[in-house]
Amino acid sequence: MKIGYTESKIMALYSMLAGIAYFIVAILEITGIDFRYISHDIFGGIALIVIATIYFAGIKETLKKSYRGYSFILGGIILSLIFGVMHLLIYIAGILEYAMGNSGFPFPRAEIILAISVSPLAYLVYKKAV
Amino acid sequence: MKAKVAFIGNPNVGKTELFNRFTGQRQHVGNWPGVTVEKKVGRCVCYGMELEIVDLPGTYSLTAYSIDELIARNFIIEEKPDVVVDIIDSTNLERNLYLTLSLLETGANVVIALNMWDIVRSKKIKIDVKKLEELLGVPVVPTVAITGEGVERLKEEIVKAIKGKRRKVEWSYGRDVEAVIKKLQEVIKKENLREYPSRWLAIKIIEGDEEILKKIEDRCKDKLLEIASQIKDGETLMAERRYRAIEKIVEEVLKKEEEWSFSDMLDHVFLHPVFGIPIFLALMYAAFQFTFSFSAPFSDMISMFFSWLGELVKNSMGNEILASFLSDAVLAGVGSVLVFVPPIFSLFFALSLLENSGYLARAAFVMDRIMHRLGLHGKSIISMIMGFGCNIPGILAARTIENEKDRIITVMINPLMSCSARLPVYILIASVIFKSSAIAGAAVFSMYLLGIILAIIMALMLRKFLFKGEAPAFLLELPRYMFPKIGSAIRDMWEKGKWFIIKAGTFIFFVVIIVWFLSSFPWNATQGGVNIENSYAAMFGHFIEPALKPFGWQWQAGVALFFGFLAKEAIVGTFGALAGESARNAVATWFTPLTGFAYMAFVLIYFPCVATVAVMVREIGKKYTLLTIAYTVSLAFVVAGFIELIGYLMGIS
Amino acid sequence: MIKMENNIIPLAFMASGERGEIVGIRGGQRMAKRLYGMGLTPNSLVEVIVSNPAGPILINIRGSRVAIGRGMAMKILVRRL
Repeated sequence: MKIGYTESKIMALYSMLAGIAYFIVAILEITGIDFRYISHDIFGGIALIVIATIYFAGIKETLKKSYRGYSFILGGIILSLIFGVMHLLIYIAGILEYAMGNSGFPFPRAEIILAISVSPLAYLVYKKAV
Repeated sequence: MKAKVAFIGNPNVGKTELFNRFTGQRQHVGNWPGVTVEKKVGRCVCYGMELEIVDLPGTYSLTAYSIDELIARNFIIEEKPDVVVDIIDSTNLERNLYLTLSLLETGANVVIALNMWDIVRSKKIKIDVKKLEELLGVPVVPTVAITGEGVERLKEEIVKAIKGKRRKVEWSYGRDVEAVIKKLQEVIKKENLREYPSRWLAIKIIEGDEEILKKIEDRCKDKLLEIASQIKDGETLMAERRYRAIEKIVEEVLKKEEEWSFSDMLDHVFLHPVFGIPIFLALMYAAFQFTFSFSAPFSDMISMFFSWLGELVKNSMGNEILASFLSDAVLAGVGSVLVFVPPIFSLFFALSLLENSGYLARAAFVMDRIMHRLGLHGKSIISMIMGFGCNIPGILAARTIENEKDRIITVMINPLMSCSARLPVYILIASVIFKSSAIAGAAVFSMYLLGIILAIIMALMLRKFLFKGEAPAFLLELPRYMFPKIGSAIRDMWEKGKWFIIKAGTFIFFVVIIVWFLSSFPWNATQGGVNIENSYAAMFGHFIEPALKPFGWQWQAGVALFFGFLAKEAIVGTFGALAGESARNAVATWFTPLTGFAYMAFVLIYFPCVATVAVMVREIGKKYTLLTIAYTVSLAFVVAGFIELIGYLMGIS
Repeated sequence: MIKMENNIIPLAFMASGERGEIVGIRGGQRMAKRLYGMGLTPNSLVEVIVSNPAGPILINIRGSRVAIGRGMAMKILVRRL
């Protein structure tokens, strides 16, 4: 896997932003706001903190262009996608509930949006690694 | 001035070349006393000192397992050379440092020659020599033995080391180990065991080094062994701790590129010593979150369908008894169970994805350390996770555990893993007794948690009283990571899930009919099942009521428990049949929040269903199965009683 | 006692990418039997896939990936090829 220096910097930066984003959402979910994209979900928030930490862990090593760093980013992305897809399915289920008249139209959860926003990073890593 | 110097190092690091550089023609080859191992001794005059250099056999470590290692180590410990030169192949730092650390433990006066430096340069490997010196506390000199580069400086450092003090750096092998070492050192010092450096001796005792133990046979060996026995399998542990220290050193000192494959990268994160477990927990959370949230609309659809059908039947049939039979028994009873097909299928689907992707094996590996402390095996976690779907595949999964005792314990605690059949009961009761859905959700989740906690406690107790433990070691096959095929996941889900439907179609169907019969007859007395108090079921219920009275459970709950012996799904089916259409409202009158919660716990624990018992007999034999039944039933009463007691004391009803 | 020839080393000391042939298992009989069961028999070929210090070692043995705890890997002797 040959990665140029600038690409490493971009990946590291992206990773940091992803980490921050997940961290913020995690805190919001834990502190119990039930607003639009955020639901009060303590364990969900904790899971997001784990993802955020993984992104953060990858920053330093990625700048050093080591495989250790890339693997953290890869791991972070996979977890992001898993949670994103899962919440997407739940969202669809929510729409079904709405169609049956059992509840209001659901808001997509933040995890979905977060997962979508890391997909460019996923694409970058995928091109380079596989 | 004269001095004795020893050369040590891994085989093939260039030790011989370096030895020749120092001694030239002035060397003499013989044998080490009593063995056929070659002993090379040479002379060298450096900076005014006459050095007698002994070339120790090439070794990778200083254990007691081979003659070469014993020779090397005994020379250092007994002959106490003024300096030991550790020659390292710098292109293989990690491996070579194991000997280095072992050497430093002996307290010898060490100087390191970082040989093959030319290759390091040509491969553009970056080694921070200064940092290495700092971390190890000894002088480090890059050398190229075949050209002679660095040899002069090495000679300088050796002479300096003979004359002066060198800084001692001791690497911590972990707080737990260091504490034991310290205790051992105290005893060693008291007993005046001065021939050996105390720290080294302590470590050898922890490792159970045979040679050393022989040598201190009559010097309070037993007392020392007793202190050291706090550490199980010390040899393995010390090796691991040395490697941990090496990892830290290498991280700071070495910058080197390696090619990693996709699977390797994933394994680096998922098997990471820090992140491994949090990731595992996050994925487990995701699996359960998916199960409950995704299946909700589908459950609702099924529920609505059955209600509608029930109405239809009731209104279009003339024969009262038949109408009641079809509507109250068949549809209400069976329908109340089928409503749970979506969550169960979702759970099996999620578990199958985890398994097919290859992740589950990593989970076993990552959890092995913790499982080990609980007296279980890493593979037990897979069995336990599958037990959340259904105890039967969970128990069968335990077959992969080689150690018989581990396997039996894993199987015996499997029933505490809340299987999917109990879920309907929790959801029904929790949603009825708790107004807030958040609390209801938490109550259901707490059942799972309770099961896990009890399983851990039982595992520890079984390990302690029944199966004296051994330390299982990690050895596990990791399948390649694969993107899980949705198709096979669905197939898997169907394979495991269809049992639920079959049970619903047969077992539960019959149970429901029986219950309907018992609760509707004598027909006139009960006025077609409305007045249940007059039915046979009530008679039976009141008969067993005394056992339930202390818990505040109604007779209907007792009847349900009874049928739960056959299959836990039958509990809800029984409720459905006993209560008729408005199952939820009826159930609400049978429980209060406290008694309901205690009931949920009772259902969690009390008895594995008949099918599970049958499998257990086949897997672990009658004796242990009976033991399992005994403990689950008694534990169920104890825990339920305990919950009610606590609740009562807290003023909750 | 096993005489260590020059290129017989514990599995734990092999680096990523190295290959070898298993020579023996030192330690208890029980351990040896378990390892045989996993395919680590004498004369079988082993390739080290990943070996980070202090972590488990991932090897390729008879076509399957096996993770071995480092302590255990210290007891498996391999002749380097």
